[in-house]
Amino acid sequence: MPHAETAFDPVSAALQQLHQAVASEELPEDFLRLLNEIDAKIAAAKSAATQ
Amino acid sequence: MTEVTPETLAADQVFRDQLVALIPALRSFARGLCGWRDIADDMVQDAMLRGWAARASFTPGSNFRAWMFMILRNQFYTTIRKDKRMTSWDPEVAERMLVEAPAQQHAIHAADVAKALQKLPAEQREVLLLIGANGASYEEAADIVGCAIGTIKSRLARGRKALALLIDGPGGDALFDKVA
Repeated sequence: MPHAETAFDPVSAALQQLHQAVASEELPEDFLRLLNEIDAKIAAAKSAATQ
Repeated sequence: MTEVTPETLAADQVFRDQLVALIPALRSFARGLCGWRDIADDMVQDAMLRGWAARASFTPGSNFRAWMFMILRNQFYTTIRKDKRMTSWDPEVAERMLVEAPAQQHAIHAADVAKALQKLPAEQREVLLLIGANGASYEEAADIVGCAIGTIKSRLARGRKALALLIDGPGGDALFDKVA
């Protein structure tokens, strides 16, 4: 008989499935645009630092 | 204005990479908190921008996930005060998922958990999401929420009990007795 702490917990499993379902979605375009903005800021700072 | 040095540039790149790696978890936490995909994604993007703007105040090597989750959580409570629609998960996604025990003695739909989750008080919902879905420790959840570990444990227990009642009715307690 399994120990009580290791027994299957359907709610935790469901929460983890919901989490995985969102986490495995393709990243929406909005996020890619935001990351591009951040990358541009980093690139601009690098460029300014080397001049 | 912060002076740009090779160190700050390197730190910015590390910060950016950590932010990218955390996006799936941030989106999941936000979706679970508010239940609406578009609003959740807007909250995450706002939190990312706030985090980026405040990156100089982040201590490298400390818990980046907890730091960003705190910002996102604050964003959620700011948003929820303005928008009262946040009551359900994305039903199309949740409806397709069935969670079963290995021996199939307990089977519940993730959709039922998602719906029940949105009926809980936000302070219980966030603890269930942090610990149950995101795998945070009690200590990390306490840091993110800004309360004592005992409060986290109490909210988790009450949240689980309430979920059981919402999913299975008054007899739902049995579902959790063996793991409480």
